Amino acid sequence: MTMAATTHERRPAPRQAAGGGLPGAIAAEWTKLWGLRSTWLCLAVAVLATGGTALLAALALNAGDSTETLPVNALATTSVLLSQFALVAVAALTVTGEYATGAMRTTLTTVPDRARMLLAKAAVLAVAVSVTGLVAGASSIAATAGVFGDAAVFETAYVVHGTVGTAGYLLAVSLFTLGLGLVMRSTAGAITTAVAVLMAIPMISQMIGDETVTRIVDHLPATAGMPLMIGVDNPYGWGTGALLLAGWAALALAAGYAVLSRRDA
Amino acid sequence: MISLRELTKRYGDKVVVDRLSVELAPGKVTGFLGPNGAGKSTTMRMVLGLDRPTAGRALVDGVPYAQLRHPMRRVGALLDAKAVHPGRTARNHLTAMARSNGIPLRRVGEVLETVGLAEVADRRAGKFSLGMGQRLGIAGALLGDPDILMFDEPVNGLDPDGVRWVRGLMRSLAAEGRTVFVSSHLMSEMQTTADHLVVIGKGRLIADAPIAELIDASSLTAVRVRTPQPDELEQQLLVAGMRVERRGGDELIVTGGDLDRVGGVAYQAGVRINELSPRAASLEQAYMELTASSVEFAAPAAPGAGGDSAAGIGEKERV
Repeated sequence: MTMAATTHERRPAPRQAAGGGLPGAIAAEWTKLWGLRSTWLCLAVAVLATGGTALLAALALNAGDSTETLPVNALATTSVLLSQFALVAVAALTVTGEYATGAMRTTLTTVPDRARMLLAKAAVLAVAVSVTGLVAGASSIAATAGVFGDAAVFETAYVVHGTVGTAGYLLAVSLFTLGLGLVMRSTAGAITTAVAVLMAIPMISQMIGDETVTRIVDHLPATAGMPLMIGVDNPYGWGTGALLLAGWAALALAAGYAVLSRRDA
Repeated sequence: MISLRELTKRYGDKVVVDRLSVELAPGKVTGFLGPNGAGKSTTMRMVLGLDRPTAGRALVDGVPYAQLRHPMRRVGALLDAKAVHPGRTARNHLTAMARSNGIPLRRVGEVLETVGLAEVADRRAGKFSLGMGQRLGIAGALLGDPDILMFDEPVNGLDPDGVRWVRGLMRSLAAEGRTVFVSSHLMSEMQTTADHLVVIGKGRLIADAPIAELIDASSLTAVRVRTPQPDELEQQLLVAGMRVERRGGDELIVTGGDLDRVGGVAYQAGVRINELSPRAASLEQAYMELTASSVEFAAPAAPGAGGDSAAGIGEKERV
């Protein structure tokens, strides 16, 4: 019974020195992201909801019989008001979906380096969300141009803000949510917090109308996205907006990493 | 080779794993036994770097698991519950795992074949039965062709056929020279599979010994004698310091001595013997005895009951 140790009859092992590491972790996360129906569904919803919202908003504006011209990206912030939450869901689920199902244990045994795992998840999410954001921004522009016809003004800056700016905002919001998901490990918690920060708090602050509150809320991601997507200098330039958004994403990811590396999986 | 060195895990005041020091050798199936809540799963999770030890270290070939560049090619693990996203197909799950460790993708098909899931490879794991989920977990463990395998309760949810298959798989993995570490609460399963046992109770090491030695050391391991002169033989055996239990008219169960000693006493006493046979304790009995005493150790804080306790247990007086 115990003489087994002497009989080595192993197959030639498929052992290579190469592979794995960060590229391997990214490849694994890429495979996992697209292996879920929810990803495809949410990304499709994000694009359709952006275009749809833009279309409805454009029709409503046009019905007001305004003869003025309109930059093609004028409806960018309105169009992502709702659709951003489809991407928030994708971002949250990449981690909270794994915690909920126990798949995080597999992820962390295959890629035990926490920083590498987080970097891989963030990179894959960034690519998926950025491309979706570009398409979504383009669909908003298309809807606006379609409804307004000659009254829609095409300028390079407008188009860039409407597409790249929109993608940048959605990227920041997604990475922010990824961080929240790592901190909370709960889909409902992460999404609810994202909704509160991105929508509820700005709305409530508007109702309150207090100057101090408004000044604080102006630095939240929702407001910071406006100059980036629209290109107007209100309440600050798009550069400041981009920096603020990057800061929020970095803050959430740092908090997420702290929890990830300290708390048991 | 897995080495646990004074491995300790505390949750607040509760000590789940208590200064556990064990070395797991290759080429053997090492069973990891203990009552529920003894700290088996926590120990395995610490080896895999999922839980951080409060103190002590868990090393794989001398390094912490998290520092391995291709961990799946060194250690394959099946954890207690399904660690698979139910929305993923079996193939997608294994493909992602393979990519993360630079394992050739043809291995995915190979391990699916090995565990018998090739035909359902493209079904979502959420639709799998518990047994199929276990098989998928085992497929993941085998993917990197690792030298060390850890299975937490691998036969959970398997049908008798599956149980036999897992048993054969573990034996053949050990026969290939790998380190196989299997936790179970099924003593009977360990008796047929394991070469070596690590027994813990309340997080502490109770025994770390070859399975045969544990059974021998059990006070329940006895010698059965049938003789027409039971009274006379009992007298002489008691004089020789053994313990005797009368069974029916002519049968004695002797503990505290082996076949040679009992035979010798009978010969010197000139007692005729009709039967002299060993009566091995089952692992189940040995295990119950071991863990029962772990409760004794654990009562007030009584340190120093570490690795040497296995030897001491066999000599404990029967009450």
